[in-house]
Amino acid sequence: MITIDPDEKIHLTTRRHRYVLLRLLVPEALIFLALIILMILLFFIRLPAWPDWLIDFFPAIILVKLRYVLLFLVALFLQFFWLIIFLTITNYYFDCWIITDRRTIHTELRALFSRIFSSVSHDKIQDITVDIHGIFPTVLRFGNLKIQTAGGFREFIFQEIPEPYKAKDIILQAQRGLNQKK
Amino acid sequence: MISLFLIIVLLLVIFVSFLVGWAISLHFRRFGLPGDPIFKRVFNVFKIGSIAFIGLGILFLIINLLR
Repeated sequence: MITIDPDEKIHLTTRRHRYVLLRLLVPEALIFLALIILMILLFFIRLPAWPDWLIDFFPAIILVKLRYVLLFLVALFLQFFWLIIFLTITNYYFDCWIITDRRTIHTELRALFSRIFSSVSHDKIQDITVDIHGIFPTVLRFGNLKIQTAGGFREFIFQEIPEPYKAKDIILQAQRGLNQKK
Repeated sequence: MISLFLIIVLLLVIFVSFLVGWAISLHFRRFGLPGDPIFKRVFNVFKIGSIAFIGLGILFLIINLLR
């Protein structure tokens, strides 16, 4: 569980821009829709019988109905794509950046059983770079924000977040506030 | 023989779906983030959808066995 101290204030919780999620979901959703249409078609179209060569090779196949076997397989494919769609949403949701008044936290779901959690204190930040590259990022105002830290020269990257300039201002403001407290 | 193969495939899909659902709920419980109710709703939709599609699969399999 991400533990945030009681006196620690969250300034911003951000994820990738929704366009990124949409970009990933559209192809999957189209395949999903195609499978639903295929399932409806399988109910109504006239299907041919099993081919003779298959019956010769495997006589027991005449005991199963082609229509229902195909419908069964399509239902399982639907479940498979349903899983993929949900995993894409989960991956989007768990890839999160939290800016508090003291630090910036990043959580990332790399695979189903692999998760990364890292945080950087604002007093260790040396440089912040905003990178907006391409037509869609420029129009929809999303991009990368890179934080260069002092210790170990590690880079902390906010990927494809909305309003990266706003996030940069919030971090700089939090950094100033932290320095004033010290 | 073929029906047995189809039942094994169905059981495999049920197992994978259950594993994914369990892993996600585990992440959700252990590493919850602010604003979690949104994800909880998405997770509920996933569960209902999974039950529906696996249910459809079982239904078609039963029809196939009965006919």
